[in-house]
Amino acid sequence: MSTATTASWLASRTRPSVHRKGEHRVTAILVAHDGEVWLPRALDGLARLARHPDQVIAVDSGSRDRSVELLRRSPHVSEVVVADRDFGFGEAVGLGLARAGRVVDVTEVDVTSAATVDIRTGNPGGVRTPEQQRGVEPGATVEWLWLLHDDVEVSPDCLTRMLSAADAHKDASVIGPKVKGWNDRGLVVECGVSIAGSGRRDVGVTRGERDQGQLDGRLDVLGVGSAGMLVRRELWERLGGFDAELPMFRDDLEFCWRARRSGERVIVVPGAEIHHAEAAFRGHRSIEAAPDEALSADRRAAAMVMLAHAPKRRVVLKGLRLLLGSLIRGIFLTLVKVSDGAWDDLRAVIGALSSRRAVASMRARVRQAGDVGDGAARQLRPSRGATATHWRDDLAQILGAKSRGNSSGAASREDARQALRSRIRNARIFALAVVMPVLIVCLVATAGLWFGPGRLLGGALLPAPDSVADLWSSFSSAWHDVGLGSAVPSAPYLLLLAAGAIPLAGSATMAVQVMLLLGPVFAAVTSYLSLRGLVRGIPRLVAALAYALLPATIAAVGTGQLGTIAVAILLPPAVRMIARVSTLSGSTLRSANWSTAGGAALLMVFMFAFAPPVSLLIAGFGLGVALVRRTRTGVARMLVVLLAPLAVLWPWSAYVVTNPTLLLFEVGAVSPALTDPGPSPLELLALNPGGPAAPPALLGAVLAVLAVLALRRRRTRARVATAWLFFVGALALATAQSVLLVPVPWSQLHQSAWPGATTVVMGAALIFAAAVGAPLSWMRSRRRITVLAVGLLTPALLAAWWGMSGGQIMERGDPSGVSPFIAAEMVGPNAPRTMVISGAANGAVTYRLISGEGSRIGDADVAPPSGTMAELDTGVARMLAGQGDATFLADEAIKYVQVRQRDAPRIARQMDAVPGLSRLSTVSGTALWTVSGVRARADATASDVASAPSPILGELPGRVLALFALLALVVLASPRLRRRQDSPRLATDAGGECP
Amino acid sequence: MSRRSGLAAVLVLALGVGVVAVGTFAGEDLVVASGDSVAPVREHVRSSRLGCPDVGDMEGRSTWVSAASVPGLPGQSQDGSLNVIGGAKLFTIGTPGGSGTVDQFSSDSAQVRATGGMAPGVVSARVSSDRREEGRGIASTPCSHPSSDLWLLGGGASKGQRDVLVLTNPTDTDAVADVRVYGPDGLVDTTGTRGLAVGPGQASELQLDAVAPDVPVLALHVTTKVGLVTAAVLDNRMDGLVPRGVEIIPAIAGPRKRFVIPGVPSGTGVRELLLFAPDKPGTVKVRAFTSGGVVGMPAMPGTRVGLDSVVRVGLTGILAGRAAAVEVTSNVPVLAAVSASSDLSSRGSDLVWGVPGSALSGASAIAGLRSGWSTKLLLTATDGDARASISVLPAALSGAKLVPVGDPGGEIVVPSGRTVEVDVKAPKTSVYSVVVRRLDGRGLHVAHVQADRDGMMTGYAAVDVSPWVKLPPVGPEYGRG
Repeated sequence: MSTATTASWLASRTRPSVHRKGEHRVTAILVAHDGEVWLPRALDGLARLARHPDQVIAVDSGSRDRSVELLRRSPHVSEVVVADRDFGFGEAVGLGLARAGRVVDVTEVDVTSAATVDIRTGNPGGVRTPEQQRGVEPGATVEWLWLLHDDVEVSPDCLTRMLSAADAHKDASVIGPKVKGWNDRGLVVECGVSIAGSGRRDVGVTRGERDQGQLDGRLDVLGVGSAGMLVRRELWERLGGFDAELPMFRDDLEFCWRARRSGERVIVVPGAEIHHAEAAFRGHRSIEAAPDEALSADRRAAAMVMLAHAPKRRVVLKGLRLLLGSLIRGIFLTLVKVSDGAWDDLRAVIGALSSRRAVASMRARVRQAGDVGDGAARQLRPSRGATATHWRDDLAQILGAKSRGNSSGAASREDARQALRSRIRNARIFALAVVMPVLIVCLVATAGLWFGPGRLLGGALLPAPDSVADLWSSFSSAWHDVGLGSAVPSAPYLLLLAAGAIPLAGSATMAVQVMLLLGPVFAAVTSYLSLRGLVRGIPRLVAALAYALLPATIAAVGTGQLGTIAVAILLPPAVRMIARVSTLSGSTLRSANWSTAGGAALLMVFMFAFAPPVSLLIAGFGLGVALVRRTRTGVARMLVVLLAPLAVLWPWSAYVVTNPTLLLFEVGAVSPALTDPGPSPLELLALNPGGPAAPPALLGAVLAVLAVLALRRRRTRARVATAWLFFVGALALATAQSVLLVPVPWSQLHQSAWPGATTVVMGAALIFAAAVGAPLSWMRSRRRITVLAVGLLTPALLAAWWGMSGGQIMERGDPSGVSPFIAAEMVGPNAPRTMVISGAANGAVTYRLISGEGSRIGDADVAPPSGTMAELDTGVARMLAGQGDATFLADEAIKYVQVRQRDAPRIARQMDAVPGLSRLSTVSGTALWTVSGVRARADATASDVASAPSPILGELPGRVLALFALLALVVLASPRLRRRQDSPRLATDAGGECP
Repeated sequence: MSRRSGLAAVLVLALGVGVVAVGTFAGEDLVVASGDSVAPVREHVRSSRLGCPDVGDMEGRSTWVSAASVPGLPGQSQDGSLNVIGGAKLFTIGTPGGSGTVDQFSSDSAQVRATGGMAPGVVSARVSSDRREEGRGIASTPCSHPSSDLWLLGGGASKGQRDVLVLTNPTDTDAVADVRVYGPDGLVDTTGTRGLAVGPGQASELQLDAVAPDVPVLALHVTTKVGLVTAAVLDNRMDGLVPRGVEIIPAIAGPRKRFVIPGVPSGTGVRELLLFAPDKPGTVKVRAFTSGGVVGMPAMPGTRVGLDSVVRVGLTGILAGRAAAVEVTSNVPVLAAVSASSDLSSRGSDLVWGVPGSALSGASAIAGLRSGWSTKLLLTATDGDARASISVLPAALSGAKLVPVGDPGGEIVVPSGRTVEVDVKAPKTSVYSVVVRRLDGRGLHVAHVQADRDGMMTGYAAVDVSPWVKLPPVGPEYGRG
C-alpha cells in the first residue's frame, strides 16, 4: 500500500472516542514486520490480558509474509494500518497514533457529538497549564500509548500492573515492563535501560540472570525499551515521539532520556512482564529501515545518541572517546575473530561522527526538551563498575564459548551444571592429592631462596632485574653491555617473563622466582589438564604427580634452568594440541581446526623462546605423523606450527638458525660446570640429565619399567608404542646433547648442552605410556594397588630426596659478584670493567667481564660472537702461559682482575708474575689485582659501538613482520565467536534492543 | 592390528636400544669438527724468562753463566731481544744461533730474558767449578722457568752435608714462598721455612742443615703464595776432610706415575735412586735402560714407598757401571731422583744428580759446555728405536752455524731399550752448546755428563727447546661461574 493510500484509509477511520474521567485510556500500537513466526504468540498474549487496551492499532511495515493477514484476523486488533516497508519503528508508531482516536471526557463533551475536542482542555486551541501538560491533574483522564512489537508476548497482568504503577506514581510519564526471554522464560533480558559513556547499552541485569524476584524493588530508570513501553500520549506528542534520525535502535532510550531531561519521570515495573524474541537484533529478520547489520546500526545509533546528549563543550571529546573505544573494541573483536564485526563497529562510529546534520537535528530536539531533569538523568547512567562487569561477562563468554559448544536448552544446562560440579570435585581432589604435596615439597626444598638479601642466582640463572620496565629495556636494547659489547638480538623469553611479572605487581624478580621455584606445581596443573579425556581417575593423578617431580625438573630448579621449567609447564598442552593437529590423536580427542593449529603454534613459539631443541623435536614429530598419515590439511597446519616460531621470534630465531648448534641449547648461561658430571646413555634412559643438581641416577628407571609393561596391553598398545617412539626420538636428541662437544658462537671453547628439557620430554612420554597402558581395569584390586604404588614410588623417592637434600646450586647473592669496593666504583658510564678468571675441570680457563651492576638475566643469551672476544681470549691465554703482559686488559678498560685462589691456585700464582698486574688483596681466598695504565671506558667502548652494525635499523622490518606474525597467530588461535544467535550482546558493547 | 602394533613396539624398543648403544660407544665429549672455531692450543714462544740459581760466592769457586739461541726453529727472528742479566746486563744475543757466556760471574742470581723472535730456542745454564778441598767439584744446572709449585728430591743435612736451597725470582714482581721439608720419617717440623720473600731479580737461600739438621735425605716442596720462583738445591758433601762432590739438584715439576730419569753415567761409583710419595703410599717398579739392554730389579716385584717418607734404593749392582736411564713406574704419583758418584779414590769423589725428564719432542739443547772438559751425551730410547741428529753450536754472540757431530750429518740410531753414549768433540771456542734433534721414533731421552781432567763430573738432562708454547684453552663465560 502506498503512503497516499494509507493516508486516505486513515482519514476514513480516525475519530474521537469517549472515556470516563479519571480513568486510563490505553491505545496499544503493535508494529509488525515480517513477524509471522512470532505474531501468534504475541496476539495470544493480547487476548489473555486481564485489562485490555482500549484500542489496538496494528501497523505493519510492508511485511512479505502472512503478518497482515494474522493481524486482520485477530479480534483484538482494532485496526490494521499498512505502511511502507522502509518505515522505522518511530514512524510506524506515529502512523498508528494518527489513526487512533482521541479521548473525550464524558463530563466535558456531548457524547452524541462526533466533533473532535482537545482531550486536555476541552477548548480547541486553548493554553494548558503545566500540570495539564503533564497529565497529573487530579481526576483527569490519562491517555496512554502502549508500544508493542510483533515478537513480544505480554503477560496477562502486564498492563494492569503498569497502570497500577501509574496510579501509584502519578508523576511517571513513561512506564516499562520487565523483559524476559522468549524461549527461556525465566531469563531476565532487560529491566530498564541506560547507556554508558562508551555507548554500551545497559539493560539493568547481568548476562544470564534468572528472575528470582531480585529486581522487584527497582523503579526509577533512565529509560525503558520500546517493547512494552507505556507512555503518556501527551508526552509523546510534546516530544515529537521517537527521533526520526534513529529509525530502529536506541530510539526508545533517546526518547526516555529526552523525557528525563524535560523533567518527566521514567519508571520500570518489574511485576509487569513481557517476553521478547529480539528477532531483528538477532538477525532473524531483515530490517529495511536500518539497512546496516543490526549490530552496526545499533552502534551507529548509540554513537549518535551520545553525541546528541553530550554537553556542547564536550562534543568533540565525546566523539574522540567513541572513536578510541571503537578502535579498542575493533582489536578485541579481531582477537575473537569477529573481524567483520570490528570493521562494522568502526564504520558505524565513523558514520555517526560524519552525520553532522543528523546529530545537529537531534541536539536541537534535546535542547527543546530542556534540561530540568539532566542531573537526575546523569545519576541514572551506569557506573564504571557496571561497565566493568559487562566486560567481564564478555570475556567469560569468549573463554567459555568453545567449551559450551552448541548445546542449548534446559537439559544441556543441567548437564553443564553437573559437569561443572564434577569438575569442581575433581579439581579439589587434584589440589589435595597433587598440587598441595608438590607445593609443599617445592617450598621445603627451596625454602632459603625466596626471601633475603641479594637476588636469586646461580647455575644457568643470572639475577633478574627489579621491574618489567628493566626487562623491556634489556629486550629492546640494540646494543648490550655484555662482554666487550654485543649487538646480538635479545632473547624473546624476556618478554614472556615480563608478561608474567605484570600480575606480580611488575616485579621481575618475583616472576622469575615463582616460575622457577614453583615450576613443578605449574607442571602438575598443565599435565593434569592435558590428560583430560585420555587418562581417568587415580592414574591421572599419579601421572600428574610423577610428571611434576621428574628428575630433570628438580635438577632444573636446582640449577636455574628456566628453559627446562618452561618446557615442563608448556609441554603437556603443546603435545596434546599437536596430537590433534597432526591427526595423531584420531578420534580420541576432538578433531583439530585452524584455531587448534594456531594454539599449538603459539605454544611452540613460547617453547622455542625457552628451549629450541624441544620445540623442534615436538613439531618435527607432529609433521612426521601428518606426512605419514597423508592428511593434506594436517601437513599444512603442522607446517604453520613448525614455522611459526621462526616468524614470530624474528630476529632472534634467525640468529639461532644461522648458528645451528644453538638448536641444542636452551636459554640461560652455558657452562661446563652445569653439565658435569655428564649423564651416560643409561642414566639418560633413567631420565637423569646429569649436572650438579641431578637426583641419584636411577630414580626415574621405575617409570621406564612401567612403560615397558604397558606394552603388554593390546588395546592401547598402538598409543603406548607411539609414546615410546616419541621417547626414543627424545633419547636420541638427549644423547646427542650430552655427548657432543659443539662449537658455540660466543666462545672458542666447545660446549656440550644440558639435556634437561629433552629428558622432560622423555619422562612425559614414559608417563603417558604407563598411564595409558596401565591395565588397571582388568587387574585384581591387590595388583592394581601394587601398580599404583610402584607408579607413586618414583615421585615419592624424588620428592624425599629433593626435600631432604635440597639439591641445588642456587643461592641469593650480590648480582655484581665482585668485591664491594669495586662494585662501588663500577657506577656510571665510565665505570671500569672487572675480569673474573676461573679454571674449569677440563683444564680450560674461562673468564667473565663484569661491568656496571653486573650480569642480568638475558645477558648470556646476547653474548657477543667469539670473534669479538678473540683478542681477549688470546691475551688471557698468553698471560697465563707466561707469554704476555696486561696491556691488553688496560686497552679494554679492565681495571681489576679477580681469581678465586681456592678454585684456581696455579692461575692465581701465575698472575703475580704478569707484568702490568699488581696484587691488591687476598680476601677469603679471592685474590685481586689491579691493572696499570687502564684506558678510559668511554674510549674503549666507543670503538665497539662504532664498529657494531645498526641492529635497530637492520632489524626493524623483521621486528615489524614478527609482530604481525604474532598478531596473526593470536587471531588464528583465538576461539571464533558466533555474532548473532549465541551472543548478541557480545560482539559490541553498544548492546542492542530490537523491535 | 595387535600383531602390527606388537611388531611396532618391538621395533621401537630396538630403536631405543640402538640409540643407547650408539651413545655409549660414541663416548663422552665427542667433538664436532668446527674449523676456525677451535681454540688455538699452541703458538710460537714470544716471551721467555729463565732463572739461574745462585751457587754461592766463595774464593776458589768459578762460575759461568752461558746462554744460547738454538738456530733453525720456527718463529725465530731478529725482531726481539735476548738479554742475560745479573745485577746488570751481562750480555745480549742479537740473532738466532748466537750464544755467549760470562766467566767468573759473581754470586748474584742471573736471569735470561728473551722476547719476540728471540724467545724460541733459548737455553741457558749455570756452571761452577771449585778447586778447594772443601766443596771441591764441578756442578751445573740449566736455568729454568719460574713456577709456583716445585719439588726437589735429593740432598740432605747429615753430617758433612752443607746443602743449600736456592730460590730465584726472575720476574719483576715480589714472590713469597713456603718450603715444606720431608725426610725418611716424613714431614720435618721446621722453622723459618714459611713466607720466604724473594724480591724481583733476587735470590734467597735456605741452609738445610739449619732447618733439618741430621736428616740424611730430603724432599722439599716449594710453593708460592705470591709470585713465581725457580728452585734448586746446591748439594755439597764432605766425608770428614774428603770431598764427596758438589752438584746442583734441579727442581721437579710434580709427582707422576711413570717417568724416565736419563743421564746415569757409566763408571764406578755409587748409584742410588730416591723415591718419595707425597699423596699416598704406593708400590714402585724400577727398571733401567742400560747400554747393554733393559735390566730390572732382581727379586723385587716392587718397592714399597710410604707416605711422605723418602726411600733410597741402591742401583749400583744392577747397573754394573753401565750408562743408563732409570724408568720408574708406580701405582701412585711419586717423585724420584738418581744420584751417581764418581770414585776418585783418594781425592774423594764427585756426584751427578738426575731427575725425571720428558722425552724429546723436537729439539733439545745443553748450554755452557766447557771445551776443556770431556762431554758425553747419553741417549736412551724407551719406546722403540729412535733416530736423532747431534750438532754443536760454538759460542758466538753474533751467531754461528750448527756443526754436526759424527757421520753422516750427526745422525745416530738409538736401539730400543738401550742407552747409547756419544762422545762430543768440542769446537775451538771455550764454551759451546749441543743441540739434539729427534728425527724418528718416540721415547728418546737425552742427558749429558761432563768431566774435567781430574775426573770430577757434572751433568743434567738436555732442555727441551720447543719453539711452541701451549696456551690453555680460554673462553669467555656469561654465567655466574
